[in-house]
Amino acid sequence: MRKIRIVLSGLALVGLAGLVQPIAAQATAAPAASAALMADGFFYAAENPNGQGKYCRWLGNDGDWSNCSDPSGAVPGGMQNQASQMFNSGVPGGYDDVNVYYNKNYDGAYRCLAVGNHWDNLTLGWETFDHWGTNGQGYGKSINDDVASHKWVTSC
Amino acid sequence: MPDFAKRKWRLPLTAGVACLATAATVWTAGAVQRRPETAPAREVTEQEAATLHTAEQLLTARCMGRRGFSYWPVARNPVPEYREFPYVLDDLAYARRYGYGTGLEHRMRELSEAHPNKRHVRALPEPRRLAWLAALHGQGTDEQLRAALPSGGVVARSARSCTSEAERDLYEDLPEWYRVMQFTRSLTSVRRGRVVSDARFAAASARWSRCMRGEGHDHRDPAAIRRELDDPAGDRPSAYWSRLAVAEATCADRSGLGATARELDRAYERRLREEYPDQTGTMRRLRLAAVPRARAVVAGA
Repeated sequence: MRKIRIVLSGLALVGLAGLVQPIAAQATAAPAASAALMADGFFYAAENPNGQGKYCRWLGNDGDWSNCSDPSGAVPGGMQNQASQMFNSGVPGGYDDVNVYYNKNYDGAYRCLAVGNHWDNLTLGWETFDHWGTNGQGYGKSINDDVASHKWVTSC
Repeated sequence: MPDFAKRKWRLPLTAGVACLATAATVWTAGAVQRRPETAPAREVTEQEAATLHTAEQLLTARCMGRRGFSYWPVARNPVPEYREFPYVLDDLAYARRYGYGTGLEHRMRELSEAHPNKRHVRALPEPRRLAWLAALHGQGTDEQLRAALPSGGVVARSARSCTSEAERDLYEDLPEWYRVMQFTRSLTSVRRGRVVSDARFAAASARWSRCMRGEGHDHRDPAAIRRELDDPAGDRPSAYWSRLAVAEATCADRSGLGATARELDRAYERRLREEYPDQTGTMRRLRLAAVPRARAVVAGA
């Protein structure tokens, strides 16, 4: 998502209007990809807003997003510092919320996404790493294109 | 008279905002500071909070049942002894007994792995598994609830999910509930960020760090220990962690870091309540109003 990031920030208004559009409408425009909005127990991170573009999904923790996979196998280039949409479709029963971290190995500042919830368009730059974590690295920065690891936690 | 005039003007606006598409909430959340309509409601007690949680879970299970699926309520504190220490481990008895709680975390992981929801969903054939999760979480094509957060950003969830349906039963005004629930949850991270960025916290951390050196441990602040704990390459024996936990708690007391953190946490909580009277007041009001409904749900279970 990196290349068009500035353009999108400049067009925050357009992006915001996009928020109210049903996701179906966007999926119709680009039918290839919104698997990343399907609830199936996984935690999802997609390259572009609203589950578009390449995506990775996980049932467990991942300390290094430079390698990750989708149902068909390893995703070229992984997802480190590339994700612009996330969806936690986990199964309630403990360890069902997800922390996403600024650094690999669950290091630095993080942000938590509770089970059943999603961030649809991180390119607007509004969602920041809002927990101090181990050392505050990345604290207050936008999480767009800047997440390097994640783990399941007991609560947000 | 001005109050009356203001109120008359505010009510249609409130209704209008609620009726509009949720993006309107995004725009107005910062600009329009709506106030709770009645006297400030009290925070629910710990027992009432537990009842609300149980009722949410029971209502979720009922909703899933109506849609033809099994769901087992999730306990609020599956391992009641487990505690989080967001600033510093400041309970010496806890440190002596549980160290950093690694054993308790292990127990929570085991319970989670064995939770009937997880086992059930793992065992379902794929189409049924997808249907289970779609019933619980809803679909991307559903009408969505959205909440603008104080730490930035917009979080969303299906308004048609069983989670949402349960919360509608309990709190009645679902969009409003989702808006303030997510907002106040996010305030916790705002508050903690303010505490650790406060000069008084830094000064107490420096005293704590000196005390730790006296105990034979070199750590800049408690967060540095969490980092070591989380390091996947770490291979310290458990005796090291036990000693470190006791030293951390001893120094939290001796340096005053524990007391400073608790005091700052309370002070920033008060201040944030004043900064966001709409969201924090509405949250309290909705939760308190839901307690009798929650009791009825639990009693009828």
